[in-house]
Amino acid sequence: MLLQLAVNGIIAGSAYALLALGFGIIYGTTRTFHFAHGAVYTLAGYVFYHSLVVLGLPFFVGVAAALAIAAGLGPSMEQFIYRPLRTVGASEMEVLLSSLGLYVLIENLIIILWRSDPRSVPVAEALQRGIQIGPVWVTGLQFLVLATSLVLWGALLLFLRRTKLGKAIRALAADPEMTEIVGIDERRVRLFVYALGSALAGVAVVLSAIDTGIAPSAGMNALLIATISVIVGGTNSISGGVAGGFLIGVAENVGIWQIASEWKQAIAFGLLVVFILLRPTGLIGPRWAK
Amino acid sequence: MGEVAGPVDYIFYILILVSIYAILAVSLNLLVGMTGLISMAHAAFMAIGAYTTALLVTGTGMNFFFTVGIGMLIAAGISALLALPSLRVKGDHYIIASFGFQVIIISILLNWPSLTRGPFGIMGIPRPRLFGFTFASYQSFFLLSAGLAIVCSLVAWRVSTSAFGAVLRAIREDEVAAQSLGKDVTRFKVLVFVLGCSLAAVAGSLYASVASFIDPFTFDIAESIFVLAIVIIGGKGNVLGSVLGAVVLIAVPELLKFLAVPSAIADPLRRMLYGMLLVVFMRFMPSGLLPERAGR
Repeated sequence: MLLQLAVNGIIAGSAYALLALGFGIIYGTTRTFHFAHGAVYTLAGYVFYHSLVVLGLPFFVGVAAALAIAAGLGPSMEQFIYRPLRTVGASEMEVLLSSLGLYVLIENLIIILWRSDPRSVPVAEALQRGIQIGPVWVTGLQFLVLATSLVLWGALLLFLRRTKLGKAIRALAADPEMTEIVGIDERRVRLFVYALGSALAGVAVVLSAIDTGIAPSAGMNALLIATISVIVGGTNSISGGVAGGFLIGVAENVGIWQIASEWKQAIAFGLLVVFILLRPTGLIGPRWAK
Repeated sequence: MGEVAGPVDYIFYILILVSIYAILAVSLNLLVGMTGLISMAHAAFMAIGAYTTALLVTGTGMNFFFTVGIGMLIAAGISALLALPSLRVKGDHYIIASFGFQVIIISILLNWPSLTRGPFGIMGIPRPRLFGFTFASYQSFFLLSAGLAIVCSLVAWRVSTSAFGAVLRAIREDEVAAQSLGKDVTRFKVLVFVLGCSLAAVAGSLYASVASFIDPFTFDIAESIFVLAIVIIGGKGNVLGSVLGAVVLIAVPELLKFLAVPSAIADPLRRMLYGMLLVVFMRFMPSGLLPERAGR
């Protein structure tokens, strides 16, 4: 029983880690508290739902449409909302509030377009079937979530360390002014980071929609998990959020062993408070720039 | 909602809502505008006041006015507990912590049915009574809610013009400088947080009493964001701005009702509108409708 819960926790944690990757790359690089990321997530989820269920398009077309909408919307917000705000000298708080406004705007647009009741996306039943490995049951979908998260995490780390663009992203995270001085096009790098982070949110929402469906509030919950993971794990490295995500997933699921499952969110929040009190730098301390 | 009969009742009902949201906005403005602390948990403290009143009035028959005081005390206690750890951290982390409190408090209301009746909410909350007089009509209830809104605004105004308020603004402008002048920054922040949250409980008590039905969803995160939008659009740090913000954001969307917009769409449309206003104001009018006066 405990082993099963731990495995469930690791799989839930990998989904959280994926959320943290998308939010974390944007937050860690631009230091913009991109609230509207939650709305990008939800909208991509509904585009996926609409393509598959309403329009009856093939699975991969739906996934492509969701990723395209996400990767287009995130950078547009940077280009048309955040950048003009920074240009007129807005404070961080004003950028955040504006992002919050965008979130509210898009979430309610979604409610108008698709109504507020949750929608499910029935795909490939084979994915939902359980496989028994020793004493533990795992579904194909759970494997898919775990594998996707781990592969994307690895790919992102390689990309950030090995490629020129990846290094430019790390430079921007470490020192924005210096980045411009050495001749990196800060504007292009930012737009790319928004596209990358938003596409990761697109992947996360597709997996989550297959599993539990999609509702207008999905983005807010995803955002809460992503931010808690990033803070618990440490805001200075991309792996911090991943570690935080896994920790929250395991804590929530193992917690069910003793506590009723309605309290999942309370467990995640309790962890946040413990970290804020005892280790405000998170699991992985400040070493992004290395 | 109690039954709204005729246009006069309807107008007074809207005015009651305006005064309730004015209390919420004025009290949140103490945190957001004066101290620079963005809290996304204000609806949760409103919920504490609302549930205290609803449970005590329906369960024990206690007088409404006592329950307001008890609600304020509970909100003060909980906000102090939450503030002590979280106000040590700065900026974004604090916002997430308050986002977390909001989620937690609503999840407690939902998942503790033996006390709160969970998702079913509490029905049949009676109107307040004082010395044999019942604030049963919308007109009389409006006098009560407007009176309390004025008291709360005066408290906020008094705080903002006091030496205490000056320290809060110093913290907002430059926390390190305030600290180096020997101010116990955390203590000031905790005090203003507790004050703001206990005033939010007053708004909750009034709401429970006028709506006569409450459930946890009434006080969700969207509600917290709505109050935040009132503060920002009205004008950070300006008490009258928050009142004006409440008038604009409550009354204007009511006009949608006259445009024959289907009710399933009216609500999200109203929210879209204030989301859009938030974006537009940040870009073109970041200090809001009534900016904080310089030097005050």
